[in-house]
Amino acid sequence: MADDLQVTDEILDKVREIAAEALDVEPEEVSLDGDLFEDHGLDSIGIVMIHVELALTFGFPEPARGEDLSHIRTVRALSGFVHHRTAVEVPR
Amino acid sequence: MTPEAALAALPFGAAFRFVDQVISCDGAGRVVTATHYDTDRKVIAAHASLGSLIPGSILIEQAAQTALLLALIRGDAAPDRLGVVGAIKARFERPVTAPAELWCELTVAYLQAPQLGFAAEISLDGKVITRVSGACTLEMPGAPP
Repeated sequence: MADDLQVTDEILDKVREIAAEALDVEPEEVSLDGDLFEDHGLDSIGIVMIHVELALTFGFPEPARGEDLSHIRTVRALSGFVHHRTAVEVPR
Repeated sequence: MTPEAALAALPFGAAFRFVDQVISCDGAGRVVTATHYDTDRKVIAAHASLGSLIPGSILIEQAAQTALLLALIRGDAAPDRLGVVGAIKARFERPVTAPAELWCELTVAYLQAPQLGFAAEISLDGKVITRVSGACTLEMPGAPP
């Protein structure tokens, strides 16, 4: 993943907002580095809805078949995923 | 699976099937379906007092069945183990009444087998009337392997 890329506060805030909606809590209650499943109680359907909202919000296409996303478990990791997907879509 | 075979594989009887036709399918994650709602269709006739309003729950079902159809065409779902929708988010832009032919354009937004996420727009004459996003598990819980 794009660990070397700078994730903006704007992306972090929007991802946290989307995660909070899926968790039915306020954004302030969702930590950037907390495990969404173990620390926040997200279920397997919830993470799908988060990815759908991210795709709609940031406008990137379906992940490639076979791409393993199971390691993406925090807001910060999701933000890095978003940054990577949007960065590769923008011509340099 | 061909679109025709996928339509035949939907596990619903005619009374509860809300996809009539596949208009287009690129095989990569986008499908457009059409559904015709007549005033004499039972679920519409039951809403005659509301001017043959097409219920929002039926529009959601049209989107969910379109998602299942796409999963069948792509081979992400098996006809004998079809899954169920786990979460739905819908926004109704405007009411629509029968008779009407509604198109559903759906794209896959997430796929980590056996789970699929989708986003759909249901439109009438090119104008979007409902936006639906959802998540489903493509295998029915307890289905034999």
